[in-house]
Amino acid sequence: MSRPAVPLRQFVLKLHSRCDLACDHCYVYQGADQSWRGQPKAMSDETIAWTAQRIAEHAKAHQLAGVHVVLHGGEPLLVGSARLRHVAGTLRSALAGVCDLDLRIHTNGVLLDEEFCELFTECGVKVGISLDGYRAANDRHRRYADGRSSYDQVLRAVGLLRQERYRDLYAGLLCTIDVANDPVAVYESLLELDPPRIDFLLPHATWDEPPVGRQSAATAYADWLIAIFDRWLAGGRPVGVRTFDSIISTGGGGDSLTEALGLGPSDLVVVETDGSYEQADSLKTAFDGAPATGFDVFTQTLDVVGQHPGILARQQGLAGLCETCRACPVVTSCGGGLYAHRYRTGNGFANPSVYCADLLKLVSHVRSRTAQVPQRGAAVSPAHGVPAAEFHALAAGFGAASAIGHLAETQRSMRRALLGAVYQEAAVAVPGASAVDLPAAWNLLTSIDAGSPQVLADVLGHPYVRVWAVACLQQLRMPPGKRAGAAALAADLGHLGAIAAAAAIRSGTDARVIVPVRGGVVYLPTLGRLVTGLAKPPPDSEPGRASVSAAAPLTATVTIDAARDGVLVGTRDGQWRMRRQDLLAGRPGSQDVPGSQDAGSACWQPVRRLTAPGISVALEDTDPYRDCHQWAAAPRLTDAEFAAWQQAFSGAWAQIEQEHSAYAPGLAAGLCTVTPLSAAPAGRDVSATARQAFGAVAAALPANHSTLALLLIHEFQHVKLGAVLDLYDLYDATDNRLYHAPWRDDPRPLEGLLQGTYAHIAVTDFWRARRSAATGPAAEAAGARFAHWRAQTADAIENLAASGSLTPLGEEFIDGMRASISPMLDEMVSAPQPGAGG
Amino acid sequence: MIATEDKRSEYPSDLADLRRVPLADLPALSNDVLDNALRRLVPAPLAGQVPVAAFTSSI
Repeated sequence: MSRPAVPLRQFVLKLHSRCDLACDHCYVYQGADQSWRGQPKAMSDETIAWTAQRIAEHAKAHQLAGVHVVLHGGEPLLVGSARLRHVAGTLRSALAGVCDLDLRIHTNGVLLDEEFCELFTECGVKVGISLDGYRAANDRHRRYADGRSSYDQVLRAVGLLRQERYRDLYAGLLCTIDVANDPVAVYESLLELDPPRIDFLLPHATWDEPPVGRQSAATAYADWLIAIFDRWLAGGRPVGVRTFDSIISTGGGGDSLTEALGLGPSDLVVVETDGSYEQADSLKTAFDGAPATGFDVFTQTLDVVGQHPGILARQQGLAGLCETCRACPVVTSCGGGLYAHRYRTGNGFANPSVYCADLLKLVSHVRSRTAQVPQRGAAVSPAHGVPAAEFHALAAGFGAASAIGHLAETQRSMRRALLGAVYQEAAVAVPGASAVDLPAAWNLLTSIDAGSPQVLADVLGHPYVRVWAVACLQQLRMPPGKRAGAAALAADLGHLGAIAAAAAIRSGTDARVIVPVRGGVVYLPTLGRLVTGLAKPPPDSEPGRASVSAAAPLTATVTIDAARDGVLVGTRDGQWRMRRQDLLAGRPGSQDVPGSQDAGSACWQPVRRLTAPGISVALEDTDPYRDCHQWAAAPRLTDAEFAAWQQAFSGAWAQIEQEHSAYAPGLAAGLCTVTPLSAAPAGRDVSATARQAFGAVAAALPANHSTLALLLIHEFQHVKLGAVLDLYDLYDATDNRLYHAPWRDDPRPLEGLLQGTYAHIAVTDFWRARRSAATGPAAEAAGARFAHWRAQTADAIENLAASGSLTPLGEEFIDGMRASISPMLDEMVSAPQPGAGG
Repeated sequence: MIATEDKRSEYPSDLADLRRVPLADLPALSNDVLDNALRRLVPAPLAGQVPVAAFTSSI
């Protein structure tokens, strides 16, 4: 199954098919494809108009926010300033009101003068220049046809771009590697020109035409780049280097910045001078005619071009690579290298890159040098890991207390990283963060971390602290114009104060901290909430989705004075005192402070706990960030509703320990919170987990304890797998295909299928055990459900295995899942019945 | 036939162990460490930068 076509966002326009230089390493003229000979010299007005129209209709059809157009050649400046003005104007006119246009030109620079720079300023065109390094390095290839050097002309052009008035035009330098040149000298010579970015490009080569310079060393290109990388890193990364930045980014799960690396889909098409569409023009190096599509701007839309097999082939991510690449430990960064570099006569592109050994060495080196680079002397311990036996147990769908404990420990690192990132990024993005005093809250947290680290770990371990932190970072990382309102962001960031206050109260630290009030309510994560009555309370008491108030903007703040014996919550209008022992014990109530104005209506609502022998979990119906599940969170429960939950929980836990004992230790170790959901309208059982809320399972109270046992086991599978996915890449994250999940009508993304399948291993196992424990019709029904789910789960496992998008570790994990289900397929059961419920 | 034994004792992750890094030091950690810890949770800042065409070819 191929991935669906990705909308095209990058367009390379070959404005001129000839060049004023005669570089002997140029892939356009020296490559296997010689189609330039049949091209007109310059793109016509008609072709330009059609091209602009095609891009605009494509952007409109796919609602693209922006497109990138690169004016290219040959040498695009050869068309002259008048034609360039016309091109830029035509493109901007066609895309006005449709999407943003990032317009660039790649030039050899020899013709660049003030007139062009003025034009580019007027038309918003950024300029990239090709330069291979210092004079001798550049002159090795970049010469005129008569042998003259181009170096002085190019340096003059770069000098223009470095002038203050043209500085914004300067996009960067592109350097084609020649390993005969001194790498550090090349880098330093380019760095002297103060570019915003440098691209080091591997010279195009294939297995038919291997790269030159291999005689010196099998990894001559890696060695050359590593010498530069080490200098670049030691120098504090003074400039963006797209190759290095991409390896670092992809190593961290981010996007590649270049088509030459990473698993991201290619979204590029070339428009040749005559209006024909071509694939990436690096394919010119493979064979004559390799980039051709047979389509042109006059006849075909870009949607038609996007369906071309050659373009689709570069959008398949991991599944589109050969077996060698798929099994490679650096594949997420390398991505098989540039598509053209994989070519070999006989089997086309189903090969590793001809630069495979270089890429492996380079990526490994960059990863090893940047995986843990502390600053200011901060000590970072080695990375987390999971013992093999526990990994295998988790893969099989189980995992005892020690395995879950390992996962929980890794979550501690993540939460600390999240907290640090929120504080760091808030300080940059929201200077002086409004009415909430973030530095004071942060200082309090660091003080508690130093004195009572376990207390802080417990507070940060609350599932919805991570939900809050991720929500903050998502907002902070948006462009300012796209963020939520300032008041809502301030309230979110101010929750840091609430976390600090909760930690201070728990640790008995004397502290004063400012905490947001939302809709008249003060929230203290892990402890509960104070409904002050000073403003309209949150719509908690109303039925339906709007049950909690994380999205509510900041309406006021309170000052919380925490001390060993008590906690004083104060505003201008009222003050309430609560005994610390009551807060820690989860007892309700608060006491007005005599003499304060308008007090008297406050109500402390503690987080209550569900308990059973061997387990105690929070019943979370107060936290403002708990409404993050697929189904709406329930409002605060009445005492009677809480009692019903306690009764069901006791029964469920007894059943889990008796009938599903393999799951009990993991649940007892990792399940810390149960969040009530509003009942679904049809009265069906609903339950959910949220990827960011490790340790929490949400559910509407089911009709009986046995169903609650099933829901807890089922949902905790998602908790476990989510934590595994926090640690490991089990699949190609760029796979955007949808897969059939036997238990759903709608197709699911790969992670959704993996999650569902993993959960249904436990569902199958649940009914397998029930079949033995129950008697009569109940046992028959359980047997039918067992048969139903084992078949569906086994099918889903094979769907996953056939996706082609599993990493080697992912394949190992799936093997573990299969090993659990396979023996169940051989068990005898009465005739299965279709449509068995969960 | 003797099956090949998997001698791997641990499955290492790329997540740095930050449990004993003082909270006060965390904002000072390099972006690489924080981004790596958070990469599967939230988009890295790099991804939020103004996008630039991934096309790179010298002429």
